[in-house]
Amino acid sequence: MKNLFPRLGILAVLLFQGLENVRAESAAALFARGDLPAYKTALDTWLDATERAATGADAAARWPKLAATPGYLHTLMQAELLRVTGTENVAKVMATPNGRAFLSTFMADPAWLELYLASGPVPENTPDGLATLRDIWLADRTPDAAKYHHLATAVALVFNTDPQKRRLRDVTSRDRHPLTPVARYTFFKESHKAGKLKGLFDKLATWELRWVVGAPVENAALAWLQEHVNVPLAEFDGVCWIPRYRGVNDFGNTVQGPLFYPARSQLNWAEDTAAHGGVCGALSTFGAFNAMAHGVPATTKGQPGHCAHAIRLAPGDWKPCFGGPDGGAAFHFGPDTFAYVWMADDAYGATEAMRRSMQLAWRARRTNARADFAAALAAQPLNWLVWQDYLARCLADPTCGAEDWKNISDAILAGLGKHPRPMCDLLAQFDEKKLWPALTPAEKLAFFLKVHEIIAANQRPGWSPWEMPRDVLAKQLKALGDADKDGKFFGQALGAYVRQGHEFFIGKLIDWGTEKLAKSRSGREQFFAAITAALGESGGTGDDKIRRKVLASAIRATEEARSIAGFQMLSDAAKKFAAPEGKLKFETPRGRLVSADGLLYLSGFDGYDPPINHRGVLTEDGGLFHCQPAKDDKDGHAWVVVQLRDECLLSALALGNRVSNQQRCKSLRISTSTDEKTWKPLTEISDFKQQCKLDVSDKAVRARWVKIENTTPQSDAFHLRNVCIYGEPVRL
Amino acid sequence: MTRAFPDIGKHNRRFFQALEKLTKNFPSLGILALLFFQALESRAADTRVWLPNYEEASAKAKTANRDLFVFIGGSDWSAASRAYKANVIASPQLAPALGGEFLWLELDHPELPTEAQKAAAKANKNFNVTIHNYPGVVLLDAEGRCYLKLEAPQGGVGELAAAVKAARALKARRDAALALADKANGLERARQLGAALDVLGPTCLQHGRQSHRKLLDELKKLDPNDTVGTQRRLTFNPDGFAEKDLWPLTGKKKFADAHKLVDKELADLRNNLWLRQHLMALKFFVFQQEEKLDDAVKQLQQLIALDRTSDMARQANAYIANITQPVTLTTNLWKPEHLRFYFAEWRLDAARQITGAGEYAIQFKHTDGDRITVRDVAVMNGSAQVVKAEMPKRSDILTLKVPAFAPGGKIWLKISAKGHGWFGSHGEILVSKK
Repeated sequence: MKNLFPRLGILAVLLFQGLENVRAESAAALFARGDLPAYKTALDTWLDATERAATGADAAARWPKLAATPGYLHTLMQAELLRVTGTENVAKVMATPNGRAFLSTFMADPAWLELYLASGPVPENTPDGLATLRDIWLADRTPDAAKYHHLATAVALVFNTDPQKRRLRDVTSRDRHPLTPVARYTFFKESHKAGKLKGLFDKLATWELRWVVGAPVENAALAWLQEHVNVPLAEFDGVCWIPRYRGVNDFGNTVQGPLFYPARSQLNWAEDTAAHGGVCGALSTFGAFNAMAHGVPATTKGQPGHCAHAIRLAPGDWKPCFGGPDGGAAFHFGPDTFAYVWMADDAYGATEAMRRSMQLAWRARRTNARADFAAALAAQPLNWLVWQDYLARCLADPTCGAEDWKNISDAILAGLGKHPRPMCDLLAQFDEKKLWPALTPAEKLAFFLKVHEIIAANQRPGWSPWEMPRDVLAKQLKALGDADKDGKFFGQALGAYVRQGHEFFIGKLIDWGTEKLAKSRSGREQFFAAITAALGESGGTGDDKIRRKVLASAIRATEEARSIAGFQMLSDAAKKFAAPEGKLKFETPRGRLVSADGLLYLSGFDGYDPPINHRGVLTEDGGLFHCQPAKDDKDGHAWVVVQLRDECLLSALALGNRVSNQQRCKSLRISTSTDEKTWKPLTEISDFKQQCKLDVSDKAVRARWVKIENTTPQSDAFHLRNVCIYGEPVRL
Repeated sequence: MTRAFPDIGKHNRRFFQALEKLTKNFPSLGILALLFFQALESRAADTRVWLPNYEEASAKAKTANRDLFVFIGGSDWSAASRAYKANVIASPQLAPALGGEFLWLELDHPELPTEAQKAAAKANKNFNVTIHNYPGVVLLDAEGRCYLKLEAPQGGVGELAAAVKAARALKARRDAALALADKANGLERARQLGAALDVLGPTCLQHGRQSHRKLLDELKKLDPNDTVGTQRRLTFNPDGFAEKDLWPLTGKKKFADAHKLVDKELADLRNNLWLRQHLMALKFFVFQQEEKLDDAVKQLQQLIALDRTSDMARQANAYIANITQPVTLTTNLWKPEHLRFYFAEWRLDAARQITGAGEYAIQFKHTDGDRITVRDVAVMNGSAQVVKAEMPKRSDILTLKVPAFAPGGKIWLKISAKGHGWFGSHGEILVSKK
C-alpha cells in the first residue's frame, strides 16, 4: 500500500500526458485542415474530459489542479478565443492570405493569447481584432517583434472595441492617408526604439497601453508633438497652454459654429492647433495627445460646459489638467466616467489576481455555472466585465433566489466598496426587482445606510460627475415607502457623509434635500431636523470645516425654502464662523430694524458667496452676499430680496457696500412686494458707492419683500454688506 | 584653416592662421602647438563661473549691468539637453564665440529631482520664461528682460553664436532707442520707447514677467492716443474686434455698418502687414456672413497678395478651396472630410448604378455623427446634365426620372450638399433602380 499512491500519481500524470498528446494531435490536425467547428469541438471535448478528471470537493478545490494540468490553460484560452470571436469569424481570418500562418503562430503562443484575452474588452463576434493582429504580424517580421506583442495587442484591441473604435473612425476612414492600426503600431514601436517615449512606457502593460495608442488623430500630429514639445513629466499639465485659448479664428468665425475649421486643412492637427488655438476642447485634446505621443497614458475629460484632461503619471496617479477634477473619460475602455478608470487601474494593476480571475472566467463562460462565475469574481472582485456576465446569468436564472441575491449584493458591497459608483451601478442592475423585495423594512433600511456609509467612506470627491442623491437616495426613499420618515432617513444618510467629512456629497445631498424635501411644509420640518441631526454629527467629529460646510449649504437651503425660522436658527449656529464686513457709518434711521429677524435670498449663486454671513447683511453690523443673475433672467440683472417676518410699514432703508469693486453696483433699483409676485418700484439709485440711506417714511410703503436689483451695465457680480430695513410690523 | 574653426572668436583667428602655416612647415611642431593651445583654451573655459540660481544671477546681472545667459535642460530625461550641453554649452569655444560679457546660469529641470535639487529650485521660482521644447537658451538683459528664447536649438557653437549675434544686434538697436528715450520727455520719449519696442516686435511682450511690459505701460501713459502706433501694432486684438464689435452687427444683419467699421480699421496708417491681413480676414468674415461668396473670395485673394508666404495666406487658400472646389467622392460613402459649410458640389461616379433610362431612387443614408443637408441631385453625362431633382423636405430619398441618354459619356452624380462635420458625419449614398 505504501508504494501504491506514488504509482497511482505516476499513472495519473501519464494519463494527462496521454490526453494532452491526443488533444494536441487531433486538434492540431483539425486546425491545420481549417475545420474550425471540429477544432472547437475537439478543444471542448478535451477540456470537458480534463475538468471531469480533476478531483476536489468544489470548484475552488479543483481549480489549482486544473490550472496545473499541462496544456489546460492554453486550451482554455484557445476555446475562449473561438467563443469571443466566433468560430466563423476566425475562419474568415484563416481564409485570408497569411491568415492561417498568423493564426497558427498566435494560437500556439499562450502568452500572446493571454495579452489579447485578459487586457480589458475584447472585440466580440467580429474578425476585426484578429485581422488587425494579423496585419501587424505581417508588417513586422523583425526579430524583436515578439517584444512588442503587448503593443500590437493594445492596438488591435483599441481599434476594434468601442468606445475608442468609434472615436477613431473619423481618422481611420479618411480617403487620403487614413490612419491604420499597423501605422499606429509602427509609430509607437519606432518611437520607442528611437528613445522618443518617456521611461514610463517601458513598464506599461497591454491594458495600460490602451490609454496610449488610441489617440484619434493622424500619426503626423503625434510625431509633431514628439518633435516640438519636450518637457519633463511634471510640466505636462502646462502643455495644453501652448495653443492660444480663443473662441474665434483668424477669419472671425466662432468656435461654436461650423465655420471655425475650414481654414485648417493643410497642417497636421497638432501643428495647426498650436498655431491657431481653440477653446477648452482643443487645448485639452492637445495636452492629452501630447502625453500619449510621449507614451504616457492620458484621456480628455468631458465636463458640463468644459473639457479638461488627465495624465497618468504612475499607476493609479492621474493628474487632473486644465480644470477638473471631475469629468468623464473619453479615451477609456469602460463606461465614460472617471470612476471606472480608477477601478480599471486597481483591477488590472493587481496582475496576478486579475490573471486568475480571467482564467476562472474563461472556464465559467464555458460551463455557464454560477459557482464558476462567483469563483472568478472571488479572485478579483473588481473584474467589471465578469460581473456583467455573472449578473446576466443570474437574472436569466429563475432558480436564483432571495438568498442568492443577498449573497451577490454582499459580495458587491465587500468587493467594490472602494469604488462606490461602479458598486451602485451593479446593484442598480437587480436591486429593485430582486433584492429589496426580499428584505424586511428593517433590513432594507440597514442595507441602504450601509450603502451610504460605503459611499461616504470611499467616494473620491470630484472626478466622477455622479448625481448620487438622484441616482441612489431617491430610489431608496421610494423603496422605503413612508413619506413621513423621508426626512429621518435623509438625515441618517447625510450623517454618514458628515461623519466622513465628505464635503462634495454633503453639498449635493443638501441641494437635493432643498429641492425635494424642503419645499413642502412637512418636508421642511423634516429637512431642518435632518440638518440639525447632521450638525450634531459634525459636532461629534469636531471638524469645524465640515460644520461650516453643512451650515453654509443648509443656510442656502433655508433661503431657497424661504424658511425664516430655519434661516435664523442655522445662522445662530453659524455665528462663530460669521465674519462681519463693516458697520454702517451714519446715524441709525428711525424705526425698528425689521430686517434683522427676516431672511434674504439671491438671484443666483457664485463661488464667492458666503451664506454664513448672510444674516449679518440684514443688520447694522454687516455681513456679505455675492451673487450672479439668475440663469433665466431676461434682463441679466442680479438681485437680492429681503423677506421680512411680517408685513411692515417701511420708514427707511440703509445700504452698505464693500470697499472694493464698488463699480459693480453703481446703479440699483429697489422695489417692494406684499405677495412676492407683484413688485412695485420704490426708487432707483444711480451713483451708489459706499453706503446710502433712504427715508421712505412719507411714502407709506407696506411690504414684506424688498428687492434690490443691480442694474449696473456689464456688472460681473452684485454684492452688498448691509441691507437694513426699518419700519413697524403691520397688524393685519 | 579658418573654415575648420568657425566658432572661434575673432581674436583667435590670426593665431590659427599662423598655426596653419607652422603646421604646413613643421607638422609635428604644429600639432604640439595645437594641443598646447587647446589645453590652454580648456583651462580658460574653466574660468567661466556658473551662478548657482536665478535669484543670485539676476541680482548680480543688475549690479554688474551684464546680460544673463541661461541654459535650461533636463539632465535625467532629455537626451537632447544632455547632448546640447556636452557639445555646445560646455564647449570652451562658446564664451569667446558669443563675444559678450555674459553671466552664466544653468537651470536643470529633472524629472526625478533630489531633495537638494527641489530645495535649490526655490531660488529659481522667479524665472518664468517657459520652455516647451527642451533644451532652451534664454538671454536676459541686466534688467531681466528676455530678448532671445531658443527652444531645442539645432547645430553647434557657430549656430548658437549666430543667433545670439542677431539678437544682440536687435537689442543694440533697442538700447539705442532707449538711450534716446532717456534724454527725452513726453511724446518724444514715447516715440523712442515705441521705436525700441517695434524693434523686437510682438515677442517683446511674451516670456512672462521677463518681458518688456513695463515699457509698454509707460508708453501708454506718455501716449494715451497712441499717436506713435506701437501700442496698436503690439496689442490690437482682431479676435476681440470680431467678437465685441463685428458679431453684434452681423448678428443683426447690419452688414453696411460692419463693413464701415472694418474699413475704418483697415485705413489706419499705423497698421503693419500682420494687422492688415487680419483685418482683411475680418472683411471676408462680413462678406461671408452676408453670403456674398464671390466678394468673400476676392477679399481672400487680396489678403493672399499682401504676402503669399504668410500663415494667413495659407489659411486663406484653404478657405478658398473649401468654398470653390468640388468634392470628389471615391466611393459611395461620405465622410467628415467631404463636408463643406456652404452647399458644395459632390461628384460621385455612377456609371455602374445609372445604366440607362428609368426611375432611380437616391438615398442619403446617414450612419453616424452630424447630419448633412442635400439640396438637389443631378445625373450628368460628361458635362451635360441629363436630369435633376430637388430633395423633398424632411426626406433623405429623392427620385430621378432618367431619360434615355447618349452612350459613351461618363455618367456621374452631381450632388449639392452641405454639412459641417463638427462631430463627424458618415453615411452612404444608395442608388437603386425602381
